[in-house]
Amino acid sequence: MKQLLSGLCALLIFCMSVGCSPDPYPGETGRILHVGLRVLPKSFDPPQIEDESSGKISAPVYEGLLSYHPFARPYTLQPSLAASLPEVSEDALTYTFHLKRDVTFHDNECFADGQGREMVAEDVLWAWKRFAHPATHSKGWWLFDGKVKGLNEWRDTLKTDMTKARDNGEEVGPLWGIERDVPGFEWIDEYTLRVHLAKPYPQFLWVLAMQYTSVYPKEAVEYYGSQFRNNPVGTGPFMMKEYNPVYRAVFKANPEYREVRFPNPEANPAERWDGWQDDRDAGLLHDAGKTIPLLDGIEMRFMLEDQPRWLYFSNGYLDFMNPPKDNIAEAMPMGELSQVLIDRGVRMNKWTELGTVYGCLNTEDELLQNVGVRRAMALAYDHRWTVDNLYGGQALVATSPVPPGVAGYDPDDLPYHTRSGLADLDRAKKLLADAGYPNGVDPKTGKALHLTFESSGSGVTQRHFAARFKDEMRRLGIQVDVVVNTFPQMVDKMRKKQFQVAGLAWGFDYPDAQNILQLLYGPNASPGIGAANFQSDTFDALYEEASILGDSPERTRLYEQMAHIVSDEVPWITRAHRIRPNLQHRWLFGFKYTEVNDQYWHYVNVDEAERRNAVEAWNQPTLWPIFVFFVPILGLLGYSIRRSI
Amino acid sequence: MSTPDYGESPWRAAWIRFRRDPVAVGFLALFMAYFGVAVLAQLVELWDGAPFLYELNLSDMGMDVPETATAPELSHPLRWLGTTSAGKSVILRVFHGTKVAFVVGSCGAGLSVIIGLTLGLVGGWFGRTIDEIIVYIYSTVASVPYLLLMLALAFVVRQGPIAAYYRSFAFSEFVSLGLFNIVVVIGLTSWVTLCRLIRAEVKKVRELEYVHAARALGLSDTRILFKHVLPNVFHLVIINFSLTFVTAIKSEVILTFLGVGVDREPSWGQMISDARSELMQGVWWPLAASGIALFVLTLSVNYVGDALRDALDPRLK
Repeated sequence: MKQLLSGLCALLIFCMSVGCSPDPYPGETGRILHVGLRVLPKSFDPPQIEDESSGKISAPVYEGLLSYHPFARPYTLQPSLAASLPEVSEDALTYTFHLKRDVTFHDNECFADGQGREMVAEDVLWAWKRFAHPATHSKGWWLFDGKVKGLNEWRDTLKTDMTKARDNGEEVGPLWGIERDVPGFEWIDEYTLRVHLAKPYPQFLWVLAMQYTSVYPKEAVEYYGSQFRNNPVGTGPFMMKEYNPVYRAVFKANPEYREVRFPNPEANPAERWDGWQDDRDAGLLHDAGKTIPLLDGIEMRFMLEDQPRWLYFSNGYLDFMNPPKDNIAEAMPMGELSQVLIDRGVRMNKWTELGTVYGCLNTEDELLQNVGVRRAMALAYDHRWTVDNLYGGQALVATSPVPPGVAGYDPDDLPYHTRSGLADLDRAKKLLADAGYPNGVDPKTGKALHLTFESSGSGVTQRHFAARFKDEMRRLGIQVDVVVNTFPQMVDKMRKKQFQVAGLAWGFDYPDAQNILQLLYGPNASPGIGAANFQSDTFDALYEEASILGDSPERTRLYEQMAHIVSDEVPWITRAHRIRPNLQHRWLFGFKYTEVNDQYWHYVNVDEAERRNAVEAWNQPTLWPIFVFFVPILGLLGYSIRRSI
Repeated sequence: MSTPDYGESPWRAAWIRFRRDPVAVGFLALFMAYFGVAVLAQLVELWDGAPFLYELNLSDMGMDVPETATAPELSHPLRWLGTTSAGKSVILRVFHGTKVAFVVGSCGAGLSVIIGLTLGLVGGWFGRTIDEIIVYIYSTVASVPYLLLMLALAFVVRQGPIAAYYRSFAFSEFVSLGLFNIVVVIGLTSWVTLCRLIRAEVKKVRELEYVHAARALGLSDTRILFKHVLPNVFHLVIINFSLTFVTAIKSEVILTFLGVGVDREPSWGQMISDARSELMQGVWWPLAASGIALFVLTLSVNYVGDALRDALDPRLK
């Protein structure tokens, strides 16, 4: 009898397993975009949105005064909540913004009647003041620091008064004193505001397209308190439907979204941009002229492991993907799309990221103060090997901190890089000898020079990079000790200047070389953001000169000069600009991926019927393993049951 | 033909019983071969100094080998198991991994034996409050899931005062922090089973006549414990050591795979971890080499451990 029961149980389990569906979105209807994110997001609260995933989940919900054009390259700003681009005074110190009049916040329980109210100039100024408020601990304060007239004083006074109030036993909340006026933020009327800058700040408009300066209602912050980070309320084309910080974020289309149309350059010449025909030919303008949002919703699932995310994409369960490093060879053998993916109608876009991978040298270190040592290290580095082997060929050798596509990029300026990217060991050894260390030996001690390389993790990739750096320096005669840190540990070491070499990367916040060159500006040295502690009067003077200039040939020339100083004096060993491939299924439209602008969601569409058919065809159950593994087991069970009766 | 005199020495008798199992003897020989490789790897490192051989690319050694992964081939012993994606010899890394495995296995198991044996002896012999405290400690340790405890300790040891203590030692030149970390973590998490066994056995032994006789003769607790009790429970230590040795090696692989283990030198765990990306590019040989090395050593120690248990257990004479 026991055998009979166990046999029936096994049969039941077998039948249940056959009944399982592979569909990860059971019961879903409508045009839903499926996105897989590789890192858990931290917050929906705009002043805290500093990481990639938080930026991506917040982009459907929030808007700022300006936004990036979804297709134009080089990057171009367009009005978003502003009715037009701002009026700028001749001295470039005053910006006047006129707001759109038909903008409402999402319907939400934070409003008394649950209905989203109209967004007005006061909301914009309130959100910016909260961004600068000391209790907010904004991650992006540096963007406004010293830039807006009277804002630093407002912040400092607030900080002092908060301490006093706390000492006096007053209750000091996170919005304490926010109603105080800031001289640089001027309210003109319900739909007009003016910003007075402390000094010319040409990057200011880029800042207004960043998530930090998004606009949200104070009712939401007051109602949700600290939980505002999980309950976003904005003006965007999508609104929050469901959010589980460790599983997924689901958005639905905002039915009250104002009328915004997909660009239609063919019909409307005023809407044209450089290269619009290429975008049209690439199928990006499939929905030209239609009202956005085009989707019924977006589902962003947090999938931390590369492999499941890749399998989801391969089987059609994610609509697009940047293939993980380990799957590049499978997706793009020899750099071109694989035949399997071509047969499935997958399209590939490639672009060079706005960012630079580099080895940061602490120029205050006793050994690395010596510019000859730094130059020798740069020349001994085989960038070509790194690009070919660690990036699978999907990177450009970085000869300068400024990446392609940004004014100031000059691939021909090669003081201590070779054109091929290969190491020049002979010249490196000569430089090292001239610097006082023949064959990498310190004449004072008679021993090989010793360096410590700080790695920000013990993952496979970081380990490979660290091992390669060790190899390259060994050939120069320098012994390298690798220290594995967590990222916070590494940041702490850099703030305290307690490191020699660290492997770092910088992703641009906006497409302006100033964004990366600021890391080498003397006053920004540690504990500021300039971990290299680079001090060059010439560089600093050029930086200050460029910082008040708008985009112009003159400023580009200054950027090139600064980039040259970096390449020549080597506070960084610039390594690579990564090439990012983006794979899209054939049913996805209007999607031009970039890393500085997450608001591409607004213009995306999917052909739901096409996707459903493809997913069904690609995910037919594979039955042979059942027969191979289960039929013999069932046979044995049957035999045992027969014997037991 | 003489017959063995079992009364002469229990160890000799155990060895004779052990020798009766030729498979066990074969595995013991295999284990000794691994041990030889580990010792050799350490000696070469001490003799040759940094940079260690396993760090060098084969092209640095004057061989015409590209700095990319190459499949195993017989043209040179250093290429028998192929090269890694950085052009380094896999066989040298497997050899160094053997050293790491032995350091982790022997030191980790050794530390756990010291802790488990000491607490077991003390708790079992003295009983009362001391015993209650020891039972409380090991019950607490045993109640935390093993892997979680190991991971938590790995983070704590790596960054805490124990790491600073490690740096003050001369051996920190030879044993990396990651390796030291693993040894400490395994030592601190694997002693409970031995402690329980020894405690129970000591509780039993202390009531036997010969212990009462020793007491009656006025011998001190220490003398009775070390002279009369310890030898009678020591077979448990040997068996447990062999089991913990295997557990320690496997734990190294797991912790290194999870990124909190050995970091500055190659180990089998690191090779298996690296294989995640290498396999996608068709580079299977580092995984195969480290996996087989791990499997054979684990199998050898397990088999030898089983045979030892049979040989040392008085009930199986």
